[in-house]
Amino acid sequence: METFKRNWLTGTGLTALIFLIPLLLFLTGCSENVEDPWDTVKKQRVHLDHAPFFTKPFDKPQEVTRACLECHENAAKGLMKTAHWKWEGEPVKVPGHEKPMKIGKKNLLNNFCIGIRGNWVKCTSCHAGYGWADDSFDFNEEENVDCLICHDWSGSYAKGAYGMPAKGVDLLAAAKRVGYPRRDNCGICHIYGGGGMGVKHGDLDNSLVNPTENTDVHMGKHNMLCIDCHKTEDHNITGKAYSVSVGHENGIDCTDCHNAAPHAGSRLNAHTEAVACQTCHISHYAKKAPTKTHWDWSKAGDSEREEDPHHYLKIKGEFIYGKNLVPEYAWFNLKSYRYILGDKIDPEKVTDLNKPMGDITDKTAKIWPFKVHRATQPYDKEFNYLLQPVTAGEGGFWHEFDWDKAFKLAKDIIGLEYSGSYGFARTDMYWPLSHMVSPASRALQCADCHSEKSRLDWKALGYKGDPAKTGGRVANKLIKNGEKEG
Amino acid sequence: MKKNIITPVFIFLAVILTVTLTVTLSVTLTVTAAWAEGDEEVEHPEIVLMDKEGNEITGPGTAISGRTTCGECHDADEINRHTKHVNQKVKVECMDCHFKDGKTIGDYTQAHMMIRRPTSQNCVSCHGIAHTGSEPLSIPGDYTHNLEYTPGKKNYGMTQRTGAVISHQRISASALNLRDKSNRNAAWDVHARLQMDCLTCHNKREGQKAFNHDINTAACTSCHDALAGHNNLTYKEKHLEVLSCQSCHVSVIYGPAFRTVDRTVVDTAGSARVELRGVDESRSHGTSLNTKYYKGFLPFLFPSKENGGAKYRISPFNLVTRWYWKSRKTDETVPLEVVKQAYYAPGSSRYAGDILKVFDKNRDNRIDAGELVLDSEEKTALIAKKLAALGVEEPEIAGTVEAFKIKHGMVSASRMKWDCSVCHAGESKMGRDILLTAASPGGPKGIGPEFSKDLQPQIQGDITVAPGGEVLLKQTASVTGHYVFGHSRTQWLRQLGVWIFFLGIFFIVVHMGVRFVGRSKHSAAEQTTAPRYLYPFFDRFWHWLMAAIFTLTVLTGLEIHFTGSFKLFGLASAVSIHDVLTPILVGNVVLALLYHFTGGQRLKAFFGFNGKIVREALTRKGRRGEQNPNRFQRLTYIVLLNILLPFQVITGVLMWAAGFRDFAPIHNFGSWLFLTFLIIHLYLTTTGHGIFSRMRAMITGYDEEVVKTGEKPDDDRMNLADMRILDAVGTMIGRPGNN
Repeated sequence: METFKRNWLTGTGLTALIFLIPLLLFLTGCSENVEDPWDTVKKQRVHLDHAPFFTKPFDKPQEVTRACLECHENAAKGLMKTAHWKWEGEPVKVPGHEKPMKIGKKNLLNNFCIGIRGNWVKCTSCHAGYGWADDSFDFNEEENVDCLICHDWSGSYAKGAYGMPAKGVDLLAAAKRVGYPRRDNCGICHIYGGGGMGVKHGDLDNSLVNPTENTDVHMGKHNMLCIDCHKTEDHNITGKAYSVSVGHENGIDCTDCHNAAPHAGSRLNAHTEAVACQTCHISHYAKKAPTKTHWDWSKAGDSEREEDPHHYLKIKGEFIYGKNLVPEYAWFNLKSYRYILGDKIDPEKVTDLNKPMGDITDKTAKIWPFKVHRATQPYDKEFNYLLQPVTAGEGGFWHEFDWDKAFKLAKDIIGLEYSGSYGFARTDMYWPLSHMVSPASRALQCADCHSEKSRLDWKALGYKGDPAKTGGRVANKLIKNGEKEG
Repeated sequence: MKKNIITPVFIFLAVILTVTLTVTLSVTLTVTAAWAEGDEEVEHPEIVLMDKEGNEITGPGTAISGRTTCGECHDADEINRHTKHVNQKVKVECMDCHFKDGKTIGDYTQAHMMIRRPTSQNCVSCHGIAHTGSEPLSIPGDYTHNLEYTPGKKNYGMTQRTGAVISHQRISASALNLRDKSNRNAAWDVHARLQMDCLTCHNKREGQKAFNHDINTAACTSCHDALAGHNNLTYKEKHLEVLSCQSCHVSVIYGPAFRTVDRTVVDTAGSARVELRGVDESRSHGTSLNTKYYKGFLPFLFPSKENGGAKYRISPFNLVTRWYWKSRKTDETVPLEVVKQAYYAPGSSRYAGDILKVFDKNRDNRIDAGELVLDSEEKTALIAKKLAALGVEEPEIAGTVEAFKIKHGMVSASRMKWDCSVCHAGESKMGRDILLTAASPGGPKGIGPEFSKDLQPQIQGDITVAPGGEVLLKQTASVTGHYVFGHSRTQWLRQLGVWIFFLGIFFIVVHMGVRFVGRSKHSAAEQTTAPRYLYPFFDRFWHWLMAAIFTLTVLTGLEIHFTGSFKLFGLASAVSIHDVLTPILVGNVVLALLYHFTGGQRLKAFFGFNGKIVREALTRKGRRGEQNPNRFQRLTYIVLLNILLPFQVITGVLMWAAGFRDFAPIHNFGSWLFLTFLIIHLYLTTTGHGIFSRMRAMITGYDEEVVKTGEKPDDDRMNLADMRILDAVGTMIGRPGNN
């Protein structure tokens, strides 16, 4: 028996060896499995049919919210912590300002409709709440949360003045058909922001509701939802808009789903050190619908001129729209500077409202594609800072076409001194592009950047010349902050 | 004092020398550096344009002469002496390569006189289609006009011969009408995609120190280390040894390569009839080359000598067939100009009346593309008659097949979707029938062309002419001198193997028949059975392990042999598995050997060969009522494990490790025998007293033995040991008792 056992053990051991040795010899060097991006995409569950729960018509939108909260008790609490409700973030340190400050849509200026304060009537129609009419709005009232704007699947829900439902909206019909946010839900605000479709973001417009593969490979070819990338937990939607923030906290990266070195060739993978994915994979923006690239407020108020929403409006001034545009490129380390109300400007120069941080010496910065929106907007000639007029609000510029009055009205609301003399100064806003990702087959090719007809201005980016010929920033030892780390 | 005079002079001379040297060197270096980078244009001093006689050119229309213009400063004569671009036939001027658009005659502006390192645009003014812009690539309208190099005219030789298009652009971005266009995302040429131009590779030969206008081609290996990559390629060294890089890295060609140039006819534009490769005429519209439907074509692989070396490597080729009139008497080719005279009305480029009458079948007063071919005796006779009248003695039609090596239009590995079966399958890239001409001239029967006398590659095949005029090259050998796994077949040996396999099946069927007929005799007898422990655990384990390995080996072997017909693991994996199994098999046999030592059996018992078993197996003696596994089974076991297994292992190892690929057909033959004996072995397991009893015994270890009434079960211990060894190694043994 002992012998049998010993034989048996030796036999098993040797058999195992005989299998393992050739397998190890032959099968080493097999390629590693590439992570599957789909593993990270949450499968949306079929939303329960809510029609049987709601039978009686709602008199007030708040009643809908209360009805939602009966079952989804924590929904409002979660949302009320987020920027979609507060329109401002946690206190952050803004470059050039000593104290950390809470910034957001609530208190910042842009170079589209300039600022929301005093203009709540129009602006807060994109607020995920009801009745934000002035600074006294109660941000702690759960019933003022607007559930339907994100969850309505009936397609019949719309918001109007002060974020209240538009006239004629059938609240019951909307409440019966609710589900997870689809592209059109997010799109109501993010596509139509700035006063019209495709105005603000060059990479978000109506063509993304049902896009083709070539417009956006994620939403077109794969029919992905906004929330597939903008992953959401407890109503906190990830993603960062650099028009209203200065950092990347809670932001999204392509590498959340994709490998950091996803290309078959090492030459392309080497590019990822200095080039953002978006740079090559978003070849053009505003592919299908035009986006606003220039806005001149100084021309507003001219009754003589013919009105045309794409060229001139008396209330807003002169515009330029562009379609299928080549982005502008700049170094960007996912942090940005920010113009804060009251910051001094040089009216002779272009003021960058949110200049991206980073340059060629910054190891963490990469070359990014941007839509740059260029505007001419009012400033105070004496105090040399940008002014925020009351436009949509009562007595505002859109009603009376009196700039002076518009600034005086704003002074009482915002508290920003107005000297009585105003002018117009040029400002730029940078919108990093992350949507309208082309399929790989339509991504940029070598010649788009490394040829006589390069779309990148290498010298402006800090290179000696085309890095394909003169070497990259590592080879030329241009990176500074990386040296400390070794 | 003498000394005082010499020192200042010496210092003065030294300073002068140093300064001169420094200046010269730095100037030379800066010029060389800028030239090498190719980035910034070298500022060339102003030049005076001169004609052949050295007179200054003052007005438009005079040809510039490089010899006089550039020869002012450069040694133009020396350059012309050793460049390939100046000879009897080819006379390239300096400006053709160094002016911005290669213009040598006409009205010049400052823009033309940008003297620089030649770019691809300069080269393609003679060589083919190249494209650097962002507008969609299209084929120029004069593409089919110049069929032979004509100095001073736009030529497209490279593209016409091989379909090579030098462009950074994705094929899908072109203006052409291509099959599956949206998925053709590779660039026309990967090197062009990477912003390389012609001179990047065509600068100097390996080992040559400097560029000297003798334009050579650098080998792929001067930049690429093929052995460093290609790790997913099974047998990469072998592949890299026998194949040129282009064999794999030139994939489907979509460029407008010629298939046939038929100079027996001319169209009204003065061009010969041209057939393009990879174009589906039935789905093409119009006469423009841009609207034709390009299916693309896979180049043909033939062994040929590399750059004058003695070694043959497989390279991709395009075959172009040229048809032309010649004089049977003088053997001279009739120039196209004379052919034109035969077709055209005198002094015009319109067809003569009698031509129109014979050629215009559908009576629409013009000769359509389909009508412009000498597909009837009448047409041929008419042209022959007219040529004879023009002074051609005994005109006749001849055809020549030329092969052009394809060197451009490479794709990177990441863009290649090669499957092994592209070559390693019965129907593959190799050894295909090649269409030489869709409509050959020479009447309804057509005539066969001949291979050009200076044909470079080795082609084995027969040229056949179908009644419709279709000329095919039927290859008789896949690739001369190569055995391509999964594709090449040594027919007689393979057929022999298959016949033996069927013979085995036949034996089984006959045996089954005999059993079926004789079944009643034995079933009548009263039989009792008693369980008997036949196979120890390790024997059984070993047996099933071997069975599993054999099954896998046979399956992967079949997949390698019949690649493309069915898919289990994919060829690359099948080869790997097949290779891994061999050491396992050998190891397993060694293991059994160890087992026998530990089991106390003598070596002789393991290797011992005794004719007795064979004799017993072949005679009918003692077959009925045999209590041990019958002798046929023993015989198959012996053949399988003692003969075929070593045979297969040895031939396999010879192919795999020693590189004797010629053993492949023998290995294949062996596998047919192997399969035959495996099937017989399987069948014979059913010949126990019950159909599955032997199979069950190999699982449980116990066989139920037939015991004749009144008899005790056989308890021959020696026999049991015998069985154990038999099953363990399957080797032939004599009963130890007999020794």
